[in-house]
Amino acid sequence: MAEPTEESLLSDIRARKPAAIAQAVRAHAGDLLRAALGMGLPEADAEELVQGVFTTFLEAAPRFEGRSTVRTFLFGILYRKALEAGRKKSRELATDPTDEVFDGRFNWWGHWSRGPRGPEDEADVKEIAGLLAECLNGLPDQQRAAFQLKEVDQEESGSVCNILGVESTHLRVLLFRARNRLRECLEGKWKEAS
Amino acid sequence: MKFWSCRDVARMIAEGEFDEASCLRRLLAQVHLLGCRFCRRYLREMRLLSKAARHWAHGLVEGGRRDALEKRLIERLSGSL
Repeated sequence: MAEPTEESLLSDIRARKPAAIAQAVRAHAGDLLRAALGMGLPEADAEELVQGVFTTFLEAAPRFEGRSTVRTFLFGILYRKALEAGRKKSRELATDPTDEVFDGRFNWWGHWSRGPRGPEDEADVKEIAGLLAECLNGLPDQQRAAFQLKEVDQEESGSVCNILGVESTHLRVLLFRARNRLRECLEGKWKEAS
Repeated sequence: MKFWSCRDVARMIAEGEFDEASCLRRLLAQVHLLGCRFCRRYLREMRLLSKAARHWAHGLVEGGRRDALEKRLIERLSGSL
C-alpha cells in the first residue's frame, strides 16, 4: 500500500485517527528525541519534552496551515519549548567573546596572522565527534539550537529563522559565533590530544 | 569590486553564506580559496565540524530506546483521544 501524502496524513491527524498519530510518532519521535538530547537535556527530561511536543501538535493541528512540513512544525515546537524551559532565551549580545577571538586571528589588512590548526581530516570524524559534546555544552542555548537545526536537522535557513523567531541576519550571527566557538574549542582539544 | 580578504572569506564560510551565496559571490570566494591555503583549511575544518556534529547526534539515540519511546508515546496519545 502506498504511503499516504503529508496532506492526507495531516487531515487524519486533525480527525484524531490513532493510526495517523502512530505514523507521525514513528516518523518523527526518534529525531525529536535526538534533538532534545542534543540540546543537552537529561534523558528523562528529553523524553518528557518529546511527549509534550506531540501533545501540543495534536492541539495545534486544526490550526496548522501546512506552510511548513510536519517535521519542521514539530521541530519548531520542540526548540521553542527547550529554549523556554531553560529560561535562557536571552537576547543574543551585541558583542560576544567569540568575535574578538575570530578577529584576533587576522592582521590589520585581513590576512591570517594565526592560521587555523584544528582537525581537518575526514578520517578523524569519529574522534572529533567524541570531543564535540563538551564543546557543545559551552555554547549559549540559542547558538546551540541554531547550529543543531542547521547542521544536524539540516533545516533550511528560512525554517530555522521561523523556529527561533529571528531575522536572517541574526541567524547568520548565531551560526558564525556557534561555528567559531566550536572550531576554537576543537582546535584546543585537538592540540591537547596530539 | 572589492577584493576579498581572508577575514571576509572566513566570515562568509562561518555564517553559512558560502553554500547559499549567489554564483558570482561564490565564484569570487572560490578564486580566493584557490590561492589561500589557510582559508582552504578553515573551510575543511568547518565541513568536518558539520559532519562530526551529525555523527555525534545520530549516535545519541539507539534503536531500542527509540522503539520504547515510540511505543509509550503511541499508547499515551491514543489513550488521550
